[in-house]
Amino acid sequence: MNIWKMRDWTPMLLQEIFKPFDDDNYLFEIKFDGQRALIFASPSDVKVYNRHHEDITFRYPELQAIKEIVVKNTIFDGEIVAFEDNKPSFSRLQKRAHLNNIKKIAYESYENPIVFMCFDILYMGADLTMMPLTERKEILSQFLDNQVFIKTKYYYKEGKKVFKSIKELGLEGIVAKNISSPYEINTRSQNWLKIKNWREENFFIGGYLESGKAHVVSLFLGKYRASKFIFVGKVSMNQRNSLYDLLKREPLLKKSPFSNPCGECHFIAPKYQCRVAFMEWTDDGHVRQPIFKRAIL
Amino acid sequence: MANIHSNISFGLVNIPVLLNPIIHNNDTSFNQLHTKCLNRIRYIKYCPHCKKEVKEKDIIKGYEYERDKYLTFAKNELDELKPENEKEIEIVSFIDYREVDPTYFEKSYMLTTEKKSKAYNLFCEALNKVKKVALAKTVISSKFYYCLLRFTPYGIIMTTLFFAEEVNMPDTEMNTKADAKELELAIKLINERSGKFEPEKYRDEYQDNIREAIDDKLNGQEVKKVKRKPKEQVNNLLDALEKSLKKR
Repeated sequence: MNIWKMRDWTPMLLQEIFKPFDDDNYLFEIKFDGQRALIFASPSDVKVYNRHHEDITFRYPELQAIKEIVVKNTIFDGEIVAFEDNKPSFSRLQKRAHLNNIKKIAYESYENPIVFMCFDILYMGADLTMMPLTERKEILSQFLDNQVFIKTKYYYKEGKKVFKSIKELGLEGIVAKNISSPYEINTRSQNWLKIKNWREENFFIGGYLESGKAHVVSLFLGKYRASKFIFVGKVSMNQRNSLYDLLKREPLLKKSPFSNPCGECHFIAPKYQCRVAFMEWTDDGHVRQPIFKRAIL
Repeated sequence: MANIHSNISFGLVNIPVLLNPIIHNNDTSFNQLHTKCLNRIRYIKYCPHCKKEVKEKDIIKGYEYERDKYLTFAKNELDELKPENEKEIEIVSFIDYREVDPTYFEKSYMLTTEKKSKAYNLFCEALNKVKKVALAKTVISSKFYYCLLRFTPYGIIMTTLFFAEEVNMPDTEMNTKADAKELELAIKLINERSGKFEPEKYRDEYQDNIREAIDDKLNGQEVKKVKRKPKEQVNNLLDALEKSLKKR
């Protein structure tokens, strides 16, 4: 298959594991919180695709500057990232990721620019995917960074140390890659692992709602802030969890215990707490990607 | 306010439906800003008697029954007066559509069903056959309404009606006697200009102008300098990472 011509393939994806590790056969990179993208660049044209092989070139006009650094047909793999306060900001990127109005896009590309954090090269006049990762990294290192194209740094062996550092900096996580692995398109591979920096906190439950799916119940989570009970998001839990029986025994309230809107559900007095892992606080004060851990009793 | 659950109740039959508002405002929304600093301004509730800002919890409703004299109502007092049949569209009778003056039409909702509903389809088809509309009572976000349920090829449209007390009609009818010759001429002019109602062709010219002006302003800003340089931010982050890695 000619990966330059056939563009309906999916980039190599990561498997999630939950503990950082040290290993001589791996290198470690920062996991940048953004939008995965494949860039097909030639000196005359740059095309950008998301992981579902949709052409999103028009959304990021600033990426056309990648033309200047390539001499042959080249495919890069990386992450489109928006920065705020020296950190990747997913919410800032989202302001870009859904725009369709060309004028708005042009305006935002000045006001709210993004960068392409490049971590792999798959094609340069010829297919490179069968080469081991270290050799592809070697080829990639010949490309110079510019204002929109930046190569990610990577560190050999010491995954634990890298993870500790990104935790201090409050970043999304790290990626561990097997240094001798080829690039496997259309695959979620064991050779690429992600270790996310999950945050955990306790939340009060102010309501619940059985979902359409069997055995799932949504818990409506709240936090006390300045003596107000604020709705911060929902998390799914299995109905077989004994916490559900306890919640069902609670008398229902007519009115929401939350001081901000949260939608309809069975409202209860915030008495029970649960522990929830999540990625970060969104700009509008909700938890992103919440996962139910356990009841706090 | 999308998708309010309700029930059409008609004799012993109950048809669960969803109310979808089909009317929305096309006004471009603007925020009010302070000219000096371009920040959003905020309303504060102020009591001129006590000379201070009043918090939400310290506000109650008062009905002015004579000048400067008020009857007060707490929120729960008013809540208790709310009508009960909130989740119901209770059919009163079936009437001829042309009997209703369009002045009474307020807002329209599409009535849909969550799953395929035999009862809903039957009701649709029956309304279509008899060429009548249903007059019904309902409550939408604590306001009581009479409304019309009408068959359309897209489903049933419910239109809420104003109450007679909300419509200010003059007390007397007017006298329209005209000269026969002049009338003939007027009718001729009207017939020459007769046309069709084609709402999709009508543009809101004022809103079009506003949207165009917004686009122009957006365009004008293209030359503005990049505010945040992401490259520098990446470098700052990577420096911080290096520092953190070297610590140990």
